[in-house]
Amino acid sequence: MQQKNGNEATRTAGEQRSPAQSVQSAPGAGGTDATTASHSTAGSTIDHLAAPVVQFRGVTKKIGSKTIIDNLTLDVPAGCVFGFLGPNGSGKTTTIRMLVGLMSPTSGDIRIEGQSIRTHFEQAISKVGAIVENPEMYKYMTGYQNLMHYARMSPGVTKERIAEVVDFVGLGGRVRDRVSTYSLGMRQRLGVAQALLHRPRLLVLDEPTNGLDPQGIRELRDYLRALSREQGTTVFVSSHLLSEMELMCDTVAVINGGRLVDVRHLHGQTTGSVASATEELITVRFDTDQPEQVHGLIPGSYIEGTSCVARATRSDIARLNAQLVQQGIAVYSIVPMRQTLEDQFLAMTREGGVRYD
Amino acid sequence: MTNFIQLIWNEMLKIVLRISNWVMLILLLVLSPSLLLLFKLGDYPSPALMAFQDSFAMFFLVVLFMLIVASESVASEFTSGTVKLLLIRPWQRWKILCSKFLAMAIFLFILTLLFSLINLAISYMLFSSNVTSLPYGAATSLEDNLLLLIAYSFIRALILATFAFMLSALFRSAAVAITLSMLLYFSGTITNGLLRAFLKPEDYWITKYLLFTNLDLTQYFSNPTGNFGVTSVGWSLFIMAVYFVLFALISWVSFSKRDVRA
Repeated sequence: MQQKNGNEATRTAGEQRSPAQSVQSAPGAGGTDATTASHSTAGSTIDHLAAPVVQFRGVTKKIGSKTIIDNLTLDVPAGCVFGFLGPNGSGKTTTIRMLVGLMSPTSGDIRIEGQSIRTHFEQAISKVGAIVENPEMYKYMTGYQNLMHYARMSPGVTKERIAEVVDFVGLGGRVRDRVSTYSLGMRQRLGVAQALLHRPRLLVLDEPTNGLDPQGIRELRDYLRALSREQGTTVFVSSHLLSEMELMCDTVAVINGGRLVDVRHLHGQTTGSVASATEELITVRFDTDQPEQVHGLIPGSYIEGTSCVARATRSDIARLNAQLVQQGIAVYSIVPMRQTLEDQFLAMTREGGVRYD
Repeated sequence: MTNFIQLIWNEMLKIVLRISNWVMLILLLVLSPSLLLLFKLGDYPSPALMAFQDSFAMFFLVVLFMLIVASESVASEFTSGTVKLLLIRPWQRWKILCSKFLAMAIFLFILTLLFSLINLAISYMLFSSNVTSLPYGAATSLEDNLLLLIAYSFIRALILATFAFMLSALFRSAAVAITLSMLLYFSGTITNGLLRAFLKPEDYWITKYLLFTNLDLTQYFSNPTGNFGVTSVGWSLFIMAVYFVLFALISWVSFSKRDVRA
């Protein structure tokens, strides 16, 4: 378990989570190390050694005397789906607005493929497609007129490209209708379409699943996966929906109260390979007919319902199993408890969480 | 970088594709010749060109329409949230602001032409084309005066629209911009009359620097030193230019330098 920071809240959070899943954590100056460190464990097909697409460098945003974002340093590696996770009011939207140049940071810099959004706005932003918050369109225009509007603003977007994007998001039948007649799901599709028109290297989506039905969320997830895998587009997506992020993202950065709390790679978590390959402590649930008995045998365990939960390594589990069987205890199942991102997230943001006082 | 004209075209479309603007345009075209019809009913004795000149009393319709269009120009992007998608294109903000302003100016130009053409046509339909007397100052021909009248009306409307445009960028709310610009437009017109009625002649110098006393260049048709006898065409143009630059600067600062939180 690597802990490179001195942040009190983070350290506490780190102790509460399963070490098997703690790939790395390095807010502050160690941002570069953080993301590269995680990739050594990822057996992913994506080239993680490429230069970062986005570099946040000491980004601070103050509004009045209130610090919204505090010294954020973070690298977003190329080609991945990068999640930006935090509770409401943690500064996600502010960060995204600074990333796309809608807000300017009080200090620090943001670079997109090496171009500063502050000093080389036009070059930097031409590589970005984004939806900031809701996909708001010109309601008195048709979907196609909206797309034409944005197409005129970017070089090299042809009519064929518009047709291609409309087809990709599956809006074909309704694109000639006025946007005012669209459902939220269709506006979301149109939003994705306008963001993709100019083939951006980086796609930025702020809370993209807001208000979408489960099917819409599923489709969006499939788009993002396809984009990332087939076209190598880097996707930067913010959300407070933890379960969504788990399904969508390769890497997740957790932000709370304007500070980066953690950056972690999720690849190992979904396959479970990281935990099984190492002799690290994992949490397992022993479902038996005599939980008290088991509790007595395993130091540090506790009883939860009819089962006993303990922390053990792989070899420990095998040994304990043999011991239980020897003592005539009926073992129904031994299940490794995969701590969800949600548990970890709540643990991380519990201390120093957002308070409005 | 793609063509800047495309940006202006985008902004023109935003004006033209709005149904509310079509309603206003039709109202404008129907109402603007109404004065001429009144003249006809009241046995107006003058020739067509004179009637056309007098029909410019209805030009306030164009001004009001433009105040609405200019107020919506920037503010509606903020109230609808579309500004977030507009500003993340490879165009610096001042260029987007310029495209909006130019689209507005072109639209005003088209409206002025439409207004003039429809009134000219109806004037000639209703009144005789026989010119017997020169209407204003004897030095210029009637045709020259007409072109100047159209140009002066355009300039006045452009400055007022720029003012509404500035309010639009400053307050980011179409409702506030429309209300404030209308309020100041009407109170400015009233102030003009009040100043003429109550201002002492030794205090007339104040009017040299006010926008509203310089806004109407047609005052120089009848009097080369203006309503208060202290200004000239050149001076009024200069004052309007100063105010224009001020409005443009405020628009630029509030649009380009401020964070977007809509």
